[in-house]
Amino acid sequence: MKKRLFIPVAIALVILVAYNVLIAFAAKKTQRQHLLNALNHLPPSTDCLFLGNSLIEAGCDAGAFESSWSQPSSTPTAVNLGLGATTPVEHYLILKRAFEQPVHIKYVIYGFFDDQLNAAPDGAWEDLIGNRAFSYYFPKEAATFYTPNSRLGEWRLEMTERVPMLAERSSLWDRVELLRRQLDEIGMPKQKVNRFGRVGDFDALEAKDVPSFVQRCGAIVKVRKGFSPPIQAMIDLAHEHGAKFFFVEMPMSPRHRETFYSLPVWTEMRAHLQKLAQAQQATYITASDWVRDGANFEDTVHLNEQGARSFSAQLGMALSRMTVEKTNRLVAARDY
Amino acid sequence: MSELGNIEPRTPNVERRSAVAVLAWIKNFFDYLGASREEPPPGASFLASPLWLGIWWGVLIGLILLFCGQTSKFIYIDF
Repeated sequence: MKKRLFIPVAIALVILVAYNVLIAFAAKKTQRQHLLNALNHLPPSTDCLFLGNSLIEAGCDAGAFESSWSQPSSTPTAVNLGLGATTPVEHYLILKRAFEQPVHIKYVIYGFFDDQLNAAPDGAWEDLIGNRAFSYYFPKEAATFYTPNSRLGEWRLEMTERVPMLAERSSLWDRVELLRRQLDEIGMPKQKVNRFGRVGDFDALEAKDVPSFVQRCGAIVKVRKGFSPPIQAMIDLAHEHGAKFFFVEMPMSPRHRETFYSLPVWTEMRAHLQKLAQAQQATYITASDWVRDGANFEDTVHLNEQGARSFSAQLGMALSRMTVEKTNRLVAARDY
Repeated sequence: MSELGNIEPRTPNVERRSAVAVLAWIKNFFDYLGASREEPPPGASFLASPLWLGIWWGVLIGLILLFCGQTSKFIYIDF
């Protein structure tokens, strides 16, 4: 009887181990693993980082940014560390890893949209899939944001991190989802896709409607809510390492600007965010209307290559102007 | 003697009986796999072996893990 139970259980366990090995291999090809690899091999000359979610990943062209810098002698070497479908917690973990490398970073450029800077971090089991599994790579640090002061929460992340079929569970789900979408499209018109997914799906990233946007932003402005803990931690980290922190209100499609950013609540929200940034010695750059032509977007929120080049060039010019002005002010103050 | 030589032509009844037997066997096979039958059907005694059970459980667990993500919101796909 014991043998009859032991053998099947042992075989099932062997298959589970094989499944884990398969997932571990599949996960090595994911964007988050590529980013981790890039982080561990940052060029020593790197002194400028683009940080954020897919808005930054799609919207920042390091080459265009560098070539538009007004003073060639002080042109920074920029690296785009944007990672799609991530939140400020993952951005903090990426920044922390970058500062651990033998590089001297002078500028951290953080791109955001809507109420991203104030939203509370969410790290429930169902949230940490896809690129958000990056949090599992650094469970202790991630737990301080998701479950502050909870040893149990930290332990949960640590245990999950050790089992690939849990931590990297979505690595194969992506493939299943792609298969499901292919089956869905049999005999149906093909849906438009871009490098991040189905174009139509990105409408879900925007607020559901104007009242919900007004309610979300209004609540933040009303209580004068500060930056969320991971955003605050990023600013502190940058300052500890002597880097300047820039918030960039990322370019938005004409539809998004007309629907949401033209509302009085966004004017109040922007003023609130600017005050918060100023109090933290960070610079706030309003770039949401820098790319006005809808043809420069590949969906509701992401810039296409042409849009990214145009935006990055403008950003490079703006930043170089700011740094020149600051240097001139410092020189003038010293001479005085 | 028919045109087919020595081969006896099958009557529709014989065909129906064998088809029913095959269907019954398949039903019993899946009933056993689904644990709603105690004994495997004749000729499939391997289903009761511990080796087969282990493979079957492992494959089932693997398939469940593979397909249990369908309730997740896949906006971004890591192409």
